[in-house]
Amino acid sequence: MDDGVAFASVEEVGRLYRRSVVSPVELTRTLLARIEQLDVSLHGYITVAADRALEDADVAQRRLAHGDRHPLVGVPFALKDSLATSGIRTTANSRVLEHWIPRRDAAAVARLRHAGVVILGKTNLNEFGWSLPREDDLCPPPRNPWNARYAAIGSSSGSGVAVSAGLAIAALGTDGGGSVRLPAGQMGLVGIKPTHAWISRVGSLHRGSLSNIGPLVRTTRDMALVMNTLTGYDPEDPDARPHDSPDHLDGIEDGVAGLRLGVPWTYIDAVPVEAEVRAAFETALGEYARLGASIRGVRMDVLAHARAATFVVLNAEHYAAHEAALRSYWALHGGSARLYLTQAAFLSAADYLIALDVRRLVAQAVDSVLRDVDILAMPTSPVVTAEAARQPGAHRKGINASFTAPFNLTGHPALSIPCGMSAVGLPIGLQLAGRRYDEPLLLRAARAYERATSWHTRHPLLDATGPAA
Amino acid sequence: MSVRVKTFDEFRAAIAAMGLPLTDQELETVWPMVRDLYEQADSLRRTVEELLGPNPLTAAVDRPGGLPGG
Repeated sequence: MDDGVAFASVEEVGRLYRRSVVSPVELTRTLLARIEQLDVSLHGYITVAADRALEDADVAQRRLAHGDRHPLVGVPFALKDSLATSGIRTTANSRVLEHWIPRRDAAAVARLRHAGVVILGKTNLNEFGWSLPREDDLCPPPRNPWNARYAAIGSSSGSGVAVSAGLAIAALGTDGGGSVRLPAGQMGLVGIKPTHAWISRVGSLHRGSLSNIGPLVRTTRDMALVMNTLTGYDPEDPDARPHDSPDHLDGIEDGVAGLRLGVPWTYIDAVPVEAEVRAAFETALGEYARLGASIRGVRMDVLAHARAATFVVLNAEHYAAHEAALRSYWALHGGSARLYLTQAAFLSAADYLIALDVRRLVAQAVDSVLRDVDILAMPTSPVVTAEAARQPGAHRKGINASFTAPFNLTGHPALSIPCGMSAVGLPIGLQLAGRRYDEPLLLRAARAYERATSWHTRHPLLDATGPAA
Repeated sequence: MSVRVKTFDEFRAAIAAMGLPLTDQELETVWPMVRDLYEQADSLRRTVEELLGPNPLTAAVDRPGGLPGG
């Protein structure tokens, strides 16, 4: 079978199955072979569940034969290794959990299984999603398939690698400050951080007040299909709120004529945005204007404080979650994770509560602006490469998350779509953010851009020797 | 922590009291991280004061004569 199918969208895979051009078992075998061939150097996966995946594919084949029309039946998924998977080890890339095999699936994983997906395996992340990646981690850091001289940004780095390199058709990640949107942006994918707790976080190892589960896929229509399966109220998630579940495909082709896009120029100008990121962003805005959207500058000065507030909240909540394990299993924590977790022990309760005050102020500001515009637009990341994001000063200050972190803080949905290509051959992302539970409008705006451009159709050039370097 | 540490010696003593076996090199690495975190938290205090006005209790305590009856 032609490996080109490895880069098919979820929708295309469904059509191929229904026309019997390819079967779930054949596609799964193709992807497993690609993983074996290419992932030696990419490090997208921590655990490949080959036997289990083929069993899933066999079941999917029978479901299709019996007329099951669910759009995700037999679609091969990769899952971030911080999401619990029954019967498949879940390590969070830490030696602390190296041999942990959960008894129960995370709620989001259970929904995917119910829909009939094939689970290929568990994808790489920096240890517990809260450290700088190191070569001596349980699994070494992933490389970016678009140019393997560069690291894949995280923390859902492995999920981004799996989809962009054609080692999975779709993936799940988690996003506490941009960890789905940043890899999506840097690897030419569509990635979303949904409205807070709109995808149940039960069974995710990241359960703080900022983190959310988000899919990484190749097209906005694929995102709609996956969101239709994953979103919904789960009373077991303490942050979840009851809300009607929309069909995310409804109106997705309606275009952006008349939509109001707000751009927080003052804030964008205050962030050290690389020139080619800014150029790609401005070109994308021009495209939206050509499509009939109205582009308006908006003032949101309080965004300047969102990054620090996110960092303080994330630190405090990570420490609260890890305190006992850190003391009991110090030696099993990696050299970076133990230091990142220890620093947060020194924040005071007052520090945390003041960060929550800022959180409320930022949320009010975003709510207020979203009464005057329909959607906010900004670059996904101010920088092109993970290396630029990890410069000591930049990383400590969280420069990389300047545009993504505010929406973790406020709970508004935000997605990244591909909007350009850098000189070093890494994709550039455009972020759109909207009102809570208004993911359908975000997808409609993203789809309009996708129809008018071809960025989402590209994929990295890979051969038997691995990614280009 | 309910109280911040102010000096490297206080920081080292606190780590020892927590029973965390950091090496000297790790202590030297984490201490600037802690101070940076404090800087970020302090910037948030200033933001809240700027946007919401001074904490009314602090303002009352700081006025000439201090707290009523104090």
